[in-house]
Amino acid sequence: MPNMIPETVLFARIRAAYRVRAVSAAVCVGASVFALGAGVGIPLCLNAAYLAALAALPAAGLTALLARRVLVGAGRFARARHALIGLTLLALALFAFAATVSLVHQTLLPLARISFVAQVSFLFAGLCCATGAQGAPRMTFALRGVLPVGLAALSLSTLSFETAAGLFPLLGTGARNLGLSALCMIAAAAPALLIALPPPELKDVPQRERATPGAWFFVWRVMLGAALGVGLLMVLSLCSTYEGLAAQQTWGRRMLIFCQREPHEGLGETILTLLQALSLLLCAIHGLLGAAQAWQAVWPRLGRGALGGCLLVCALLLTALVVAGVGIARRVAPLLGVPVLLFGVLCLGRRKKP
Amino acid sequence: MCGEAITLSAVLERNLQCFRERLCAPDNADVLLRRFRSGAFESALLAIDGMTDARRIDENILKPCMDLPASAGEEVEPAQRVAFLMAHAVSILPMKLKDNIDEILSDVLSGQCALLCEGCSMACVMDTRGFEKRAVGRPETEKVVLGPHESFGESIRTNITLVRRIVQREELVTEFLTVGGRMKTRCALLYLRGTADETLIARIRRRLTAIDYDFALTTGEVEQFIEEHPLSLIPQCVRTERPDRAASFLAEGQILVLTDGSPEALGAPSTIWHQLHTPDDASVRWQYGTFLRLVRLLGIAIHVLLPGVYLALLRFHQELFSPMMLASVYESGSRVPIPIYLEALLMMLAFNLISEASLRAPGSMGNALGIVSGLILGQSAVSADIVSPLLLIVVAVSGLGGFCVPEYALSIGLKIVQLIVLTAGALGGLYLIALVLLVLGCALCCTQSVGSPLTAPVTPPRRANPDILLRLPLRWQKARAFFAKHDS
Repeated sequence: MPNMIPETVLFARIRAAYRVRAVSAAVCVGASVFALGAGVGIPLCLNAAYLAALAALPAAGLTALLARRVLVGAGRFARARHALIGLTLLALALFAFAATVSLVHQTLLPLARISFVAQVSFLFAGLCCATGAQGAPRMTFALRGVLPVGLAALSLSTLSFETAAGLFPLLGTGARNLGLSALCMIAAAAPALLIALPPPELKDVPQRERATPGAWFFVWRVMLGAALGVGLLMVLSLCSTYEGLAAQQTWGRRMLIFCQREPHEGLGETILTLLQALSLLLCAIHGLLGAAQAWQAVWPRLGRGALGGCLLVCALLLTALVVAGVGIARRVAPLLGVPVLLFGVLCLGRRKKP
Repeated sequence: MCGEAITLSAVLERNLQCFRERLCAPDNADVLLRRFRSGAFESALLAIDGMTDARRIDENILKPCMDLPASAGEEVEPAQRVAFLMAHAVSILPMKLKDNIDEILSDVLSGQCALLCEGCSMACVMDTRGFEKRAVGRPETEKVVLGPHESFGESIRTNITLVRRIVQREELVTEFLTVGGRMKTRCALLYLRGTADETLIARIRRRLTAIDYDFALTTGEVEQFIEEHPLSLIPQCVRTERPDRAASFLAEGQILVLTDGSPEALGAPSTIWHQLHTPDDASVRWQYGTFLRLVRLLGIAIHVLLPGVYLALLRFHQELFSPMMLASVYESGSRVPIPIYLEALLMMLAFNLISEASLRAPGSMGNALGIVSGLILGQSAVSADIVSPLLLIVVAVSGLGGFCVPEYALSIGLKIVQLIVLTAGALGGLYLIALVLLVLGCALCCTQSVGSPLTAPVTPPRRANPDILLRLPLRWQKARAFFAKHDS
């Protein structure tokens, strides 16, 4: 007779699935803080972008907290909430794609056409999604050490005493711009909405509700991810002078952590850029997978078609972006903060008694 | 007439006729059908020549039966005659009473013999297997410096004994299964009761019995029926030809599948980490074991990535070369008439060609072939400006790294990955290589081995033995694998 899985083991497995989910959300939050900071923060307040990005920490933490609150139980506005999450994550995926394409095109593949970079990125992201809903989250979990440690170590290796001047002036281009930039950084909390969706591998697992970890379990991970994003922005400020950042007109070049002393010493820089691009791409993949899961919750009959639909919509919008210029994504990205705020409002509604 | 019979009849001649028809006797010279007098009634013995131990049959079956006094068994009911002989004459230990003709034939074809009696509709099937087999030899693909030097052979019985000699525990269970469509293959399922998960045992048993392929003869073929992802480049079960390693699998909670005629055991479920371990990792101190594993991992990384990264750097990231080196690379490459990607592809093809030819060439010729191809051809190709010397070094080092892969099946999979990475490097530089690795990583993370994630316990996280990438001290390795029975 088949043995039953003991409750403790079952709980451990459920907890492990949530760990994977939390790490995925953390990586995505970190990537979006960096992309948004480079895209919106730097044009507004130059070297003080990292200070403005600090606003993303409480925003991401709070979003994670609210997302955990609605994770178990349907509650009121469940479908509306799922639809909102689906739309937000789809927009996030598009933003992350735009950031990846911009970064890669302007750094790693400057001679390639931007449409080629976009097609290749989207194709491989689609393949990652097609391998299954668990593949990308598990891969992200496996990279949870390598990615942040690699990013931190390589970016720190670029620093020297001379670069400390990059931290000043603290207010960048002024307090107003700093405040505006901080407000825009709320949008970077959007990936924390992933936490509101249960991990796909727990679809048929019994007693899921009882074993769901507490809010702090998610909040500290997500905030750590955001802190890494802020750290990268800080390194970016340290590596570039005030005038240097002001001269950087394009989004992708602004994301480049410039560390090479000699032309042939750029290996560290290349690996660092690769890791950044990989983080952004993972954010896009998680956005797509999360959006598909959310739409599936809205219309359960969609099944696997939800992912196909999300991929199609994303492909069309990305094509439009490439034609019109990926910079548009950077400009509209702060609007992602609106659904995050709306989500907060929806979550604050009274919960249904189970 | 016989084709419709499922069970034996009480008429001996009819049964024998049925067996003659099914086994194509007397045209089939291997069929041994011996009628003889055993006391008061007539009996017959059915066996396949060469598959049985003739001496055992003579001394333990025929002689005692024929030596019975003429009155022996007079008072025995005809239906009990076989049972009478089993109790009073035959002295063979493993024997069973059977009446199903298909089952009896299957047993006879596997080297057992069947004793039939007049008036009795049952046959006694006795294990008298005695065919020639290879002696226990040394492992060929899992050689070690320290540790046992014993390997499995082709006889399933010997292989089970080799495992049982190491695992002297009452919980060790051996289940025999006959798998396959027309040509049946005997498989054995070995596991430690109380350690292996019953759900997994049932799953493997179900998959084995569901095999309807006509010729599932070897472990490799059986493996392909057990695995869940036929498109995956990475094997989903771990193979070993070493009884000590097989025993360690059992202790971890894995289930072993042994196939008659195959000198290897299949361990399932397995993880990707199992395929990166070698048997002598555990035989040496943890520092040495860890060092060897790191060297092996580096070798694998070089094998998979080096040619692709070299091409990517050369085509898309020239700024990473120092000016002197870049000049040297272009200078040597400018004399080669073909594009660098094609050059690399041809070189790797040549390397695989030499490797395959050396493997198939008999004995010492294989070594000579390797030397001739590697040294002379390589040198000549560089002298003739067909390939650049730097690329030759890259391909050679990458090929050397490939020999670090402990699992043969995995090494073939990695060779395919190497070609994909090479193409990615040539088409899109380091970025495309990163994308390819991301997709392959995601696919790997989704792969399961008999229901267990192939990448666990790293991802998804599971509480289990920390013996994953680093060979930590043995005193820290008290936990079983995550797929073992939970309360074991």
